[in-house]
Amino acid sequence: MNAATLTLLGQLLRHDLRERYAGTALGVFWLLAQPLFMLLVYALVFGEILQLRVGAATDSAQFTAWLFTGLTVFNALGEVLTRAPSILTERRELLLNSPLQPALLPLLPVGSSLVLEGLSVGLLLLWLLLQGQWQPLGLLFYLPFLLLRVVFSLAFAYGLAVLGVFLRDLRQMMPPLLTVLLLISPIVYPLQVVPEVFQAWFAWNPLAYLVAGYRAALLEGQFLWQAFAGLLGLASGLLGAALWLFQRLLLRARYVL
Amino acid sequence: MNAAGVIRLVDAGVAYRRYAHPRDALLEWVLRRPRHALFHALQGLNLRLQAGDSLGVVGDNGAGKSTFLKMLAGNLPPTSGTCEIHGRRSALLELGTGLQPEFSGVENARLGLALRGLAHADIERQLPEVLAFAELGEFAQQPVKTYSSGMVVRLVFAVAAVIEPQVLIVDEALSVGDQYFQKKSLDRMRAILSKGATLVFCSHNLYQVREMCRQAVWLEQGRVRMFGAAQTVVDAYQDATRARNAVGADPRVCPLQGHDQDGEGAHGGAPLLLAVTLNRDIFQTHDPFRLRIEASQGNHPLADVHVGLVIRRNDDVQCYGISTLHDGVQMQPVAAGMVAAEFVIEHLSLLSGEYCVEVWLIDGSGVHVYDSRERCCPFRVQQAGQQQGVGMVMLPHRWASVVEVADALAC
Repeated sequence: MNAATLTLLGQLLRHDLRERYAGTALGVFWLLAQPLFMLLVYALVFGEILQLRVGAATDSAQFTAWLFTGLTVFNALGEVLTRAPSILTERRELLLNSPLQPALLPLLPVGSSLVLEGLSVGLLLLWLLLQGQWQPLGLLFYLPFLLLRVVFSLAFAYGLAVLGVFLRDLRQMMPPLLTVLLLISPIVYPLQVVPEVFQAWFAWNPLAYLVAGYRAALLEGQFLWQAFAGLLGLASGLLGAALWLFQRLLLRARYVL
Repeated sequence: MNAAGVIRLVDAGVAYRRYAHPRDALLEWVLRRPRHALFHALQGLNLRLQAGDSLGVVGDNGAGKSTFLKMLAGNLPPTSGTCEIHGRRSALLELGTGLQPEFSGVENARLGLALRGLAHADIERQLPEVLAFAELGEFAQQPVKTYSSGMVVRLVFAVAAVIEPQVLIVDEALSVGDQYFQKKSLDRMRAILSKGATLVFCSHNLYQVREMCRQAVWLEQGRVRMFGAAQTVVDAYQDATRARNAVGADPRVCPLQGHDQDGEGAHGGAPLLLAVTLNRDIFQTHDPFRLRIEASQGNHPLADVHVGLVIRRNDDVQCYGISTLHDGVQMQPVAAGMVAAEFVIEHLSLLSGEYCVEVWLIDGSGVHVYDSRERCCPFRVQQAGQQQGVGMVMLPHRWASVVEVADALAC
């Protein structure tokens, strides 16, 4: 990737973000406003009303931080999953009428998810600092898991982008699928509240490990080696498959764009 | 550097696959069973252009011109054969495509330059030149959705042409701009050409194609019908169009159509036709024919104002056309800011019929038309008794003696 391609990518990303929030008062902070509102709702329902706690000695402020970390991962992935299926058809004009490399387009939702995650994590760190829960090594241990999240995102972005051209229903299916994903993963509730009999099922959920990795790093300053290694293998495999699919189907996709 | 600007097509073709539904394209891949209908937009193109060549593209709607240009622009890979293009290319395709309506002209210019492979520093360096060329004024900061089509074409052309490409591809878009900008952009294209770049130019304005391009290709139903010198190809294409139109009763719409006069107010400096006068309106064959044309010079130098005329019969047949440019003479100043020319035929050789004159005020390159009058000075030609020939025009002839012919054959 040379300087010119990077410039183009930067411009496309900036346009992409500005286009969505053009004319709004909050601008790009809408990217954050929505998740923050959901955080408020979850914190109220699960933290205050249902009195869920992680471990015994935690207060509601810590639970909120715990919740926010999980939602940060989920929202960043959700951004990619909802945008990717329509990214090629949305930019149809540009794809067909300019020498734009199609492989750049799936990078856009990944880019905006990075902006979202950057804002979220910045806010989280500020919150932890104010609460005196700041983990000195947290940021260092967070970066490998961010990398994992990005590799997963790239895999989904490339796969869904090209499949979305053929299967136009995909983009409609994404929001309900995301809701299901949120409910079957220990993101808004801790794993301990799940009855023993179902816990085996949760062991199969990669998102649970990813979220656990984020939380261990940012909230406890620990690095989950096993989770990282396992997820890295899975993510790389998925990315390889997605890139292969993208390359194979791209020419075909042009016919039906 | 040697190869820059070279275009080489070997048996290149583009076939679109048509599917009833997008998912069929995926199912086809999974099941390995064809589910499409093929549509050949282009087939078997063989073409070789050197750097500095200029290629005009003519053909009817649906002949594959746009696909051809898209393929050359690199937006569409050929599905068969090869299409090699060396050097930086820049394309101005269908109007407004790739523009983001919500963003300002400046933003769109940046994106356009980035799409053409410029890095950040180069973009910022070229941007002032693009904006100066487009002459958008304060509109440069306004969203493109507020632009008129003329402003859009100015912006798009400025982006395409300012980066000095080695291969410049220009589609029909230019005809949208006003006269002033048309001339400016055509001049720019000539300048780029003269620096050794290769030009591919597609227009329905056959006159412009003939003047801009050395070679031309005539596409018909996705294939090359003819490839060669621009003059030859354009004439052949025009002949074919005429032959087809002759069947219908409608008078043919002249391809050298006049332009909308919008630009006049804003750019008052363009020359204009003032008067076209003919010495009489009924002639006999062999009578003297004098046509006087007066025009305002505008703010253009004398060498940049020429006049062309075409005599047409009432069935739209072009009898003869010529210009001061092609004859190598200049218009003469007659008063302040006024020029005139007088076209004289000592012995009018037209035969009986009704005729009229078309007058074109053109620039020194012969490409740009400042002003035009169609169907002016209608006149009638009658044949006196002793001139008995039939047809349109009296051709110089003689009847040789039979002995002479026999001698000639014997030689």
